[in-house]
Amino acid sequence: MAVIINFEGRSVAVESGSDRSVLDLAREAGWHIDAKCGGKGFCASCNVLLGAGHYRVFAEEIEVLPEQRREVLACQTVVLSETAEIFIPRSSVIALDGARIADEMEIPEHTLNPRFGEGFGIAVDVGTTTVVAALVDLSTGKVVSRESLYNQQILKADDVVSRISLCDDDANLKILQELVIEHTLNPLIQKLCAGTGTDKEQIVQLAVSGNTVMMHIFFGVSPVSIGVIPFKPVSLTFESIAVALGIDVKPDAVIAAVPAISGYVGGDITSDIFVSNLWNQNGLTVLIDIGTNGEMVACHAGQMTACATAAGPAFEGAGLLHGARAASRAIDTINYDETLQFELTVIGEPYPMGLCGSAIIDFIACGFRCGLINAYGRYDVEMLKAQDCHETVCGMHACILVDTEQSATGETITVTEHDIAEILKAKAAIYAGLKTLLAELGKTVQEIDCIILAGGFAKHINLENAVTIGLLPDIGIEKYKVIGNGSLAGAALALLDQGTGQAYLDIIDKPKVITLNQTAHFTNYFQEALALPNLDESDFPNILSNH
Amino acid sequence: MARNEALFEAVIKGKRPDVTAIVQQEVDKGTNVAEILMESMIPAMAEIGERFSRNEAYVPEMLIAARAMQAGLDILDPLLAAAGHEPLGKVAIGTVKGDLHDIGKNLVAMMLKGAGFEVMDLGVDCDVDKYKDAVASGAQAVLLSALLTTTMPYMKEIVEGLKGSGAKVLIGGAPVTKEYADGIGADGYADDANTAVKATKAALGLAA
Ligand code: B12
Ligand code: FES
Repeated sequence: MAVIINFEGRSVAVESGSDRSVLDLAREAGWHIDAKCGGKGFCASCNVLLGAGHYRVFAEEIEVLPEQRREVLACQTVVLSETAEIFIPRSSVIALDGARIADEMEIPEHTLNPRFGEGFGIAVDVGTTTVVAALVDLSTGKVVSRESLYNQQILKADDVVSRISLCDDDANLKILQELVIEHTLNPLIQKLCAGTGTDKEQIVQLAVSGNTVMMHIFFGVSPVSIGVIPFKPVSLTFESIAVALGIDVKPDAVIAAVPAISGYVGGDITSDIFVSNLWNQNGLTVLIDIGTNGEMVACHAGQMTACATAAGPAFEGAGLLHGARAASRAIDTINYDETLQFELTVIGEPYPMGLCGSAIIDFIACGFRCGLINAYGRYDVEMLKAQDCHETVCGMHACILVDTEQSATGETITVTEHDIAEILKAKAAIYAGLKTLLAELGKTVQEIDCIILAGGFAKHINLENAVTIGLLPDIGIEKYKVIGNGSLAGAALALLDQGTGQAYLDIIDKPKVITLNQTAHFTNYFQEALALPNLDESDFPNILSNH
Repeated sequence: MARNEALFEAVIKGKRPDVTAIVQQEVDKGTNVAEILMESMIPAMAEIGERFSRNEAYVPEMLIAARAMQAGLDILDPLLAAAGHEPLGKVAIGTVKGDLHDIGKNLVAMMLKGAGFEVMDLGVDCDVDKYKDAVASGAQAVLLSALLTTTMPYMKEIVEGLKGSGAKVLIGGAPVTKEYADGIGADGYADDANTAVKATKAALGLAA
C-alpha cells in the first residue's frame, strides 16, 4: 500500500502498515509533525489534510473523494485504503533548524580537581525542549566547544507530564530513551568531536543535568510515579556507564547525573543553586527558572524553600494561534505605541512565520502601556479598527502584526485575545508560585533583595516588559541577575572539580519543597495575578503609577 | 428587589471588595438573601458565562469574576442554608484520584449552584468510592474533573464503577475531549463551565 505524503510541494511515498497512524507515516516520510500531547488526540497540533482515500479517524471510518480535503488529527487517523494522499500544512511541522538555544554559561571560580586527570569530559544539559553539550578538556579545565540540538523527544510530546504518560508502556520508555541518546546526544558528541578533532575514545566521563523526569528517561528508568500523587521519583541520583546507555564514547566512560531535589525540582535546579551560590547570598534571594515547569527556590538566612509552578509551555509558543519556538523565522522582539506601528525583529530570516515567548511578552506589555490591552487582557477594538489592525479569527478579536505580504506563511500573523489569555494563565502561575513560596517564609515580594533568573528563556526576555505584565515582581531592574544556562555550568563543574559531587548531595536535602495546592494562598494569588499586572495593586506600584 | 446594578457590575468586573461591601449592605438592610443571589449575582455569572461562549470573555476574566462571586457567596451561604429553597436537582463534583487541580472544578461547581443545583463538592483526589458514596447519598449526576494526562485515564474506571447506579456521569478538564468522553462511555462532556451546566441539564433531561 502506498501513501503519498505532500509537504511544501514535495511528495514522498511510504508503505502503510496495519494500524500505523498518519503521524508515524509522515515521520517516516521525513517530516516531523508537531505532536504536543504525545499523540493522545487532544492538542490539535498535528492537523493534516486528507486527500482521496479511505481512513479511520478516531473510531469512525470515512471516505474522502478525489478533489475533497478533510482536516483531521494525524495521530488519530489510520489509512485503510490501498492508496491515499495526505497534505501536511506548514503550521503542523516542527522546524528542527535554526533554534535559538541558550548555551551561554558562566562557570564560577573553582579548583581544577577532576576525577580523571586526562582525556575529555562532556557536560550535558538535558532540557525538555533542548539539549546542550560542552566538550571539556580535563587536563587544562578548558571548555573546548559547545553544541546544541532540540531534544528529539519533542517529536513524541511537548511537556514532561505528557512524556510521563507515554512511559505507561516500557516500549515507549525505550523509544524516548533512544530519542534523547541515539538521536540527540550521540549526534551532538559526533559534532563536538568532528569540530575539534577529538577522538571519541578519549572521552572518559559525562556529567548530565536536567529535570527529574528527563533524568529518569535518560537512564532508562520509568518516571510514571512522578506523574501522580505523591510525585515520588524512583531515584534522585543516577550513575551508569556509556555502553549500558548506548552513548557513543569510550565504552567504560562514567556517566553521572547531577542529583535532584524532588520529582518536580530537578538536578538542573541543584546546578543553578550551586552555580549562583544561592545559600551564601545576603538577604532574601530568589532563583527562578521561567519555563514550562517554572521551578523556583527562595533563600533567606541560609534556609531554602522550593516549588514548581506548572506554567505550561505557552512561553514556548504552544497553544498560541501563531506561536512559535524561538527558532528561525520567529519574531523575537516587538515594540510599539498607540499608533500601532509594530517594530519587529525576526530570528535568522527576513520574513516571520510566528512569534515566540519573548515577543508575546513585549506585545502585551506595549499594548498595556498604550491602552490597546486592558487589565483583563482585552483589546480596545476601536483602536485596532482605527489603525487597520483588526481581524476576527474563529470569532475572536485579533490584532494583525504582520500582513500577508510580509509573512513567510502567506497568511497574516495575529495575536488573538485567547492567546493573551493563555499567557496570562502562564504568567499568573509563576507569579503566584513566587508569592506563595515567600508567604511560606513569612515574606513578601517587596522584601526581595535579589532575583536570579536561570535558564535559556530569561536571557532573551525584556525584563522591564516582563515586570509590566506582572510575570516578575516590580522591585527595580537592578535587583535582577541573569545567569544563563546554570544547568550546563553545573554539569561542567561536576567534571572539573570532583568535590562538587559532594556539594550537590549536600544541597539536595536543604530546600523544603512546597506543594502549592496544599497552601492556603496559591489559588487566590493565581486569580489576582491573572490581571495585568495584578489585581493586588500594591504589588506593582511603579507600573501602575506610570499607567 | 430588582437587579442591583452595582452588584451585577461588580461581579462581572471581578471587584471583590465592592461585591463584599454591597452584599453586606443588602443583608444589613434586610433584603431577602435568595433575591440578592438570584436577581443580581447569578445573572452576573450567567452573563459572564454567555460572554465566554461568544468569545467575548476568556478564562482569566471568568476566574476573576468567580473569585468576586465567591466572596459574596461566603456571606450568603450560611443565610441561604437557613432560608432553605427547592433545588433543580442534586449533583456531585470532584477532581479525580491523583489530581489536585481544582480551580476549573470550582468554577463549574459555582456555575451549577448558580443554575439552581444542589452541589456536593467532593474536593480533589477522589477515588471511585467517593463518587459511589455521593450517588448513595442522592446525587443524580456526578461530574469528574482531570487536568493531567496522567490522571485522565482514571475517569474510565469511575465510569465503569458507576455503571448500573443510575447516576449520570459527566467529565471535563483541559486534556479531556468529546471523543475521549464518548470512548469511555460518559454521559456528557463540556469544555467550559458554562456548557457544563447545559450538559448537566441535558443529561438529566431538564429543560435548558
Ligand atoms: C494553576 C495550575 C496548577 C496549580 C493548581 C492549583 C489548584 N488549586 O488547582 C498548581 C501550581 C498547584 C499546579 C500543580 C501541578 N500541575 Co498544574 N497547572 C496549572 C495551570 C497553570 C492552570 C490550570 C487552571 O486552573 N486553569 C484554569 C481553569 C479554569 O481551567 P480548567 O481547569 O481547564 O477548567 C475549565 C474546563 O476544563 C472545564 N472543566 C474543568 N473541570 C470540569 C469538569 C467537568 C465535569 C466539566 C463538564 C467541565 C470541566 O471548565 C473549566 C472552566 O471553563 C495549568 C497550565 C495552563 N496554563 O493552563 C497547569 C497544568 C494543568 N499543570 C500541569 C502539571 C504538570 C502540574 C504538576 C504535575 C507539576 C508541577 N510542576 O508541580 C502539579 C500537579 C499537582 C496535581 N497532582 O494536581 C500541566 C499538565 C500537563 C499534562 N500534560 O498533563 C499543565 C497543563 C501545565 C504544563 N503544561 O506543564 N498546577
Ligand atoms: S492531537 Fe496532540 S498530537 Fe495529535
